[in-house]
Amino acid sequence: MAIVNLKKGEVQAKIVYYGPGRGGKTTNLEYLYRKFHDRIKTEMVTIKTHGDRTLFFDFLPIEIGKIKGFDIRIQLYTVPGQVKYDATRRLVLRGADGIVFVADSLVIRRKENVLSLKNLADNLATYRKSLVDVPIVLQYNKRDLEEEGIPLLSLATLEKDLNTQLKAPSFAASAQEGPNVVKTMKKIIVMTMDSLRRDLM
Amino acid sequence: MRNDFKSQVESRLDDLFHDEEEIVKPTEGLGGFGDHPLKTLKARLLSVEWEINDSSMEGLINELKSLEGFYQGDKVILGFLRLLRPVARYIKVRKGKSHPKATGLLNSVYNSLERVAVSKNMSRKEKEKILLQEMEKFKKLKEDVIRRREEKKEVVEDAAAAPQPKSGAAPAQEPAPDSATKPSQGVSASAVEEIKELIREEFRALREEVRHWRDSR
Amino acid sequence: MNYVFNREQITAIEDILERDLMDLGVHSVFLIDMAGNIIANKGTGEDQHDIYSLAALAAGNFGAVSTMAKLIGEEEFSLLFHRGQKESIHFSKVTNDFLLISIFGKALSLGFLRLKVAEATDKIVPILGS
Repeated sequence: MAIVNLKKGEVQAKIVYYGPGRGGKTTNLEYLYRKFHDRIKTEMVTIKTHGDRTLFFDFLPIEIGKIKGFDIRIQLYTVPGQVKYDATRRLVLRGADGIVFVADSLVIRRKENVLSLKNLADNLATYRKSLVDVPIVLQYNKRDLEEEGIPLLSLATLEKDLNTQLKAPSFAASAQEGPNVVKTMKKIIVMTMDSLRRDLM
Repeated sequence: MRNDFKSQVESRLDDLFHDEEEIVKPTEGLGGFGDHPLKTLKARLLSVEWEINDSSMEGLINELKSLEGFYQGDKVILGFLRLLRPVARYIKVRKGKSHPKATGLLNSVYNSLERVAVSKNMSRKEKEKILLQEMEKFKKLKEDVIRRREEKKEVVEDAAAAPQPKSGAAPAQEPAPDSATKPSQGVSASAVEEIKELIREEFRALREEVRHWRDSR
Repeated sequence: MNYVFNREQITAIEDILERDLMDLGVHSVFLIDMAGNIIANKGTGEDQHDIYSLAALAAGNFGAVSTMAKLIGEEEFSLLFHRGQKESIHFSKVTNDFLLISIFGKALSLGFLRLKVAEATDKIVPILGS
C-alpha cells in the first residue's frame, strides 16, 4: 500500500525480502546498510532472537531522492524465515508493494525454497493478492559458496523450481560479499515504482 | 521420590499459608493501603485515569458523595473532597471538551488528600496549608476555564457565517479579519449558560467551605 | 490499493492533529498506515529517521497485538498503550487501514487523551475517505 503525499511531494513504498530461514534476507539489508550508510543516513532496525535470527522484522528506510519531482522513500523489510513465524510473516507482508524472494542456493535447502515460495503465495492470498499481481524479483543467494566446494543448486534448477510460471527477473547473488545485492534492490525498486505509476495514472 | 517430596513440601506450604490475606493486585500504591476509607476513592480515580466515561465518572462522584458523609467531622478532609466533586462533575459533563488540566487537578488534589489522610504526625496547620494550595490550583483552573471559554466564544463568533441577534452578555471583542461578530445562538449561548451554572455551583461550594473553616478555627 | 493524499487532505489532517492533540500537550502524533508508512505527523522536531522507524515498529506492534486478540477470540482490543517513566505511547485504530500513534508525557492523563483521540479520529475518518 504505497502512500503518495502530494503536499510533501513524497512517495512511500514498502518492499519485503522474503524467503526460507537463513537464506540471506537480513544479510541483504545489512550489506546495503553497510555499503550506503553515509549516503542513506538512517539506522537499520532489527528485531532478533538471542540466536541472532530475525524474530519480527528488519527495517531499512532508504531515500532515493527526487524523481519526477517526488521524493521517493523506500522502506525495506525482511520477514523472519523460520517456519514457526508464519503469523509474523503475514503481518510484515501487509501493504507490501514489491517483493524480493531470496532463495538459498544450497542443495540441502531446495525443498525449503519451494515451500517458502508457496508460503509467500498463501500469505499474499490473505490480502487478496497473488504472485502475479505484485512486482517480484528472485535472488539466488550464496553463490560465493561454490568456491568453497559446497554443493549448490544450479541456476537452471533454481529457475525451474521457482520461476517457471512467474517469469520474474532473477539474479545470482552473494549477499555476504555483495555481488548483485544492489542490482536486486534497484530492480525491485524500479519495478515497484513502475507498477505504482501505472496504478496511479 | 523427589517428586513426592516436592509435592509434599508444596502441600505443606499450602496448609501453612493458605489463610494469609489474598494478594491484592498491585495498582500503584493500593497494596499498602489496607482497609483505609479512601481506598475505593483511589480505585475510582485510577479507573478514571484509564478511561473517562459516564460510568467511571459517576462511580467517582458517588464515592465522593459518600465520603463527604463519612468525613463530616473532619473539616480539612471534607475540604479536599469538596474540591474534587465539582472538578469531577465538570469533567463528566464536558468530557473531551474539558480543560486539559482538569484531570491533572483531580490527581493533584487526591494525592494531597491522601497524604493528609494517612499521615500520623502532620499538624492541623500543615494540613490546612496543603488544602489551601490545592484550593489555589482549583481557583486557577476555574480562571483558565473561563478564559478558555471566552477565547472559544470569540472563535465561534468569527466562524459564524450569518449574523444573528446577540445573545447574552458578549463583551466588546477585537474585530476579526473577515467574519461576523455575532455569536451563533445555539452553540455558545448554551455553553455560556453551562459554565455560569458551574461557576455558581463552585462558588457556592467554596463559600460553604470557607465558612466551615472559619467556624472550626 | 494505494492512497494518494492531496494538499487539502494532508493540511486538514495536520490541523486536526495540531488543534486536538498537540495543543493539549501531546509530544508527537502520527497518522500511519498498517504497512508502516506515515501519512501525517506533528512533533516536537526529532530528526526524521526516528519517526520512520517508529512508524514501522508501531504498525508491526499493533498488527501483532491485533493478531493475538483474534487468537484469543477477541475481535480487537480496545486499548493499546505503553506507559514509560516520562513518555508514554498510545495506539488507536482510525480505520482498518490507518493508525493514530500519540506520544505524551506525564502531564496528560490517559483517560483524557483517549477522549481527544476519539474526537480527532471522528474528524479524520471522513478526510481519509474523501
